[in-house]
Amino acid sequence: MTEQEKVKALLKEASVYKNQGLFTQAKEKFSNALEIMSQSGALQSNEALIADIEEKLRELNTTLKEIEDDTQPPELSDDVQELIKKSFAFSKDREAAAIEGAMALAKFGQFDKASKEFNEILEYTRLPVMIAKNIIRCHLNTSSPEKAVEQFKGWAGGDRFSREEILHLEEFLQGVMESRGIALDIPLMEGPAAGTQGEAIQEDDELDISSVNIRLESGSEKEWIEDFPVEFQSGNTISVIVPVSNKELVRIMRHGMRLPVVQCFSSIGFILGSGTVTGKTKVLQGPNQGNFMVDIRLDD
Amino acid sequence: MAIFNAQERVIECKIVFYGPGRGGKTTNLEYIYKAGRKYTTGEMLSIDTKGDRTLFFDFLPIGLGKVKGWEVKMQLFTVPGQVKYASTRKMVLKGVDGLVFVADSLEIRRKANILSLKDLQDNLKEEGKSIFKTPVVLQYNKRDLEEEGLPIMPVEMMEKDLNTRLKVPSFAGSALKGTGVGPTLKRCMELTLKHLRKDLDWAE
Repeated sequence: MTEQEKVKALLKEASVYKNQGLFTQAKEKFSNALEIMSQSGALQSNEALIADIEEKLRELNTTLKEIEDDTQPPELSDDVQELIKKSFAFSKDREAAAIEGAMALAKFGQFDKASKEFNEILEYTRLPVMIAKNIIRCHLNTSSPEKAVEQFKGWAGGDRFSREEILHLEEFLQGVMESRGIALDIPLMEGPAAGTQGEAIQEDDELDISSVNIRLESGSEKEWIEDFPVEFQSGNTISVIVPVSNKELVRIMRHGMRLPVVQCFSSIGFILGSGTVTGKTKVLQGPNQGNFMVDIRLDD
Repeated sequence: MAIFNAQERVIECKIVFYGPGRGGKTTNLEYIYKAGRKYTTGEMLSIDTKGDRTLFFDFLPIGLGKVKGWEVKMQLFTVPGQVKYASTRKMVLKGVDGLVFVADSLEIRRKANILSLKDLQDNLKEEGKSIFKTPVVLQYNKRDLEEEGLPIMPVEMMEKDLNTRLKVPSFAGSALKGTGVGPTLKRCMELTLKHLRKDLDWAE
């Protein structure tokens, strides 16, 4: 095969890959063609073709960057949101299924709809505190801390929650706001009278974890420990944000990775545990857009 | 996880199209939607992003009519193939009853096929399922590109790469032209229903 034939074959291949949406592969083939041309005396003079290939490479680079940067999820229709809600709820128990559906909506970045669903669940749930926390998290993920505070004020003035639960939620709200560096005026509630013990808060028997420290098992950052605020919690599965800027951590935190040391911080203190990474996905909207949400299932 | 409604005698199953990014999963569903209108029971929903890449999933509901006195409905889903959407793939895979693995026949996608199949195996394991005990059908897609003189893998090579241990039915195809799409889905549905019948004794 002559060099000219090689270039022709490479360009044809590159064009098909481009049409197939295999942009990285197309770029590689265009580059290969360009390289052959630059080393061939006869082909070097074909300036028009070289310019054309260079233009195609520029276009591909732009497309690849757009794909990488395209983090905004499309505005999902009501139908699709309903489909997500129904398709990703598997429990037979009505309430558990409703929570699964709302959590799925949140995971797909549909925080407004998820918040609406959680609010409906709040009307009948046996776990109002856990649901309320997820509503607050949804508001914060849509960059609406004011809405979170507004809703909290509504709860504080209503009769859905006991006084102890409101105090607990207030502490939670303040904690998550502080961890995000948000300063908002949260109406401070008075605590229980001195010497009295607040009623136990029913929260699905789950410990509310506000942040975790993680020591990695392997990789170049073996002793690396970091404070991760918890974004979502459902039972013993928590979701934390890993900044995209921490490329090494983003790279090594993969599905199935064991985390032998997880320090959990909660309102009642510090607990040492372990866990497994069960998911990692790019955050598509909200204040954490572009970062990665990592799901960690904590061991019992 | 098929849903049985004994009162109305309706069974609803979930089939997921899995495979590497840009391998033709969505094109399979599009073809089924266009060519099998008499079976579809609703619109096809796609949630894609820049460059027509699947962002969350595609969804197509189809109805098979009555099988042994039961109304059989199938929900067809695709997963996003891009590596970065691992979490979404896992979610879509939840409750799956049958799988179509759409492999890309292009030589340059050989490694992507193998990695995607491994990803599928891992994700099923996470769900407490074995790939060897789940109804799976392989489709070697984009065979039509051979006509354009592009380097594609021989079917034998793909069989060796992907089906040596699985030993499941496989079909050469071109989702763009519709070749092999029907037989792939049909076989997957047969295996899925057979598996459900065996597992749950639903038709007895």
